[in-house]
Amino acid sequence: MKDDEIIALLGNEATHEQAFRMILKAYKEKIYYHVRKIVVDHDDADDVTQETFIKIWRNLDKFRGDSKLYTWLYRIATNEALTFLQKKRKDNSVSIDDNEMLVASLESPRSDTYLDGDEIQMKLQKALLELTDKQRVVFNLKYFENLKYEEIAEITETSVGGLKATYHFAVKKIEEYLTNH
Amino acid sequence: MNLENSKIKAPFTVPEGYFPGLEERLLSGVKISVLSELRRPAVPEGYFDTLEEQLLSTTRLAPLNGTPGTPEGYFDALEEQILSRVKIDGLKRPAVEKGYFEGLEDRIMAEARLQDLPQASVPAGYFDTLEKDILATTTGARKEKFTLFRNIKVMRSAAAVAVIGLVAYGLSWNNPAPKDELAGISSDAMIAYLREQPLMEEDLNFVLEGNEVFLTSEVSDKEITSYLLENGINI
Repeated sequence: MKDDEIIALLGNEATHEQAFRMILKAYKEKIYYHVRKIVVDHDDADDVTQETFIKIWRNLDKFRGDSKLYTWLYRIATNEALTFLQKKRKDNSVSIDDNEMLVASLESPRSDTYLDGDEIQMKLQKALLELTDKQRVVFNLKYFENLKYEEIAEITETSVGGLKATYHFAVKKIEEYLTNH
Repeated sequence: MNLENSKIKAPFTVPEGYFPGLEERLLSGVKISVLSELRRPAVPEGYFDTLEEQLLSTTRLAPLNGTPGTPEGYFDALEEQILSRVKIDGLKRPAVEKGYFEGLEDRIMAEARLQDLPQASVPAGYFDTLEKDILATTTGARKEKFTLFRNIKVMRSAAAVAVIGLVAYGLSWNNPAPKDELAGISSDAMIAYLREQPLMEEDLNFVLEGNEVFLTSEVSDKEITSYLLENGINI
């Protein structure tokens, strides 16, 4: 299924629901994992994923085709995830860059945490929580999703040059963490 | 460690059958979202464009009409509520004597005026000695100006002094070597003393005893005045 087919369906309001069903089928897992890497906890990721798709549905008529469909979808998902984290930190009265609650989800897994990784995978996730939210988003999209800087620039609405620097510093910081732990 | 050369996967998993169920739930969520939007009643085209102006017009006109809306039966219950509150308020107020408030304002004002008067402090015991000090000052040092024709009492006093003077003169003439204890007191001191002492009848009798002849002699005002002037007594 090509994004072009979906975009064509979005051109007609009568076929919006069909387009949405196609988006859902094609992107639900990708959006979920993208959100999960940001919010860490499965239940939180589930909530944010649902909110993301509801927002996608409500804004289907605003998609003009100026950007790629998936970058538009990832942008909505990223914004929803980051907004969710900010609200969660505020509710827990912790600072804006405090990731302790996310670290706790990794270090004290419950039966419903849904983590299945080897030691290095877990260490990488812990290293990621040493980064800021923006660094994490950039690293995830580049490292795990293999997106180009131009695509990440569309999602995060920042410059390519800034993204390269952000990714470079994120990698260095993670390597340092993995070496020392 | 070279991170980019070693592709490490994310450790996140999902419950079994999560994604098939997720799609269904997401569709349900979207339908609920759509339904909640459909629940909103339809409005005529351009309704919200003019709504603000309409509301502002209404709020401007309401006070002009003088009949702002009130709940049904509001005024029926209002009187009763006010009376109840007045009764309660009356119970709270302490009782006062009849007529207490009449003249209260004047009493308060009088009290306030008294409190406004400047109060100079005085040395301790000042008033205990004040009367004595005043008397000592006035009787000891002050000489009142003698006004012959304004005060009959003073005139009488002056006449008495004149008589006494004459008597004294007579006595001294008849007895050139007085032996009494008052001999050392000057005439001026004696006159000043006698002027300020009330002259009683018995005093006159004491003075004139044996000199009754002076009482029978008539002395005119002119004679008295001229005598006093001659003797340096200021009148």
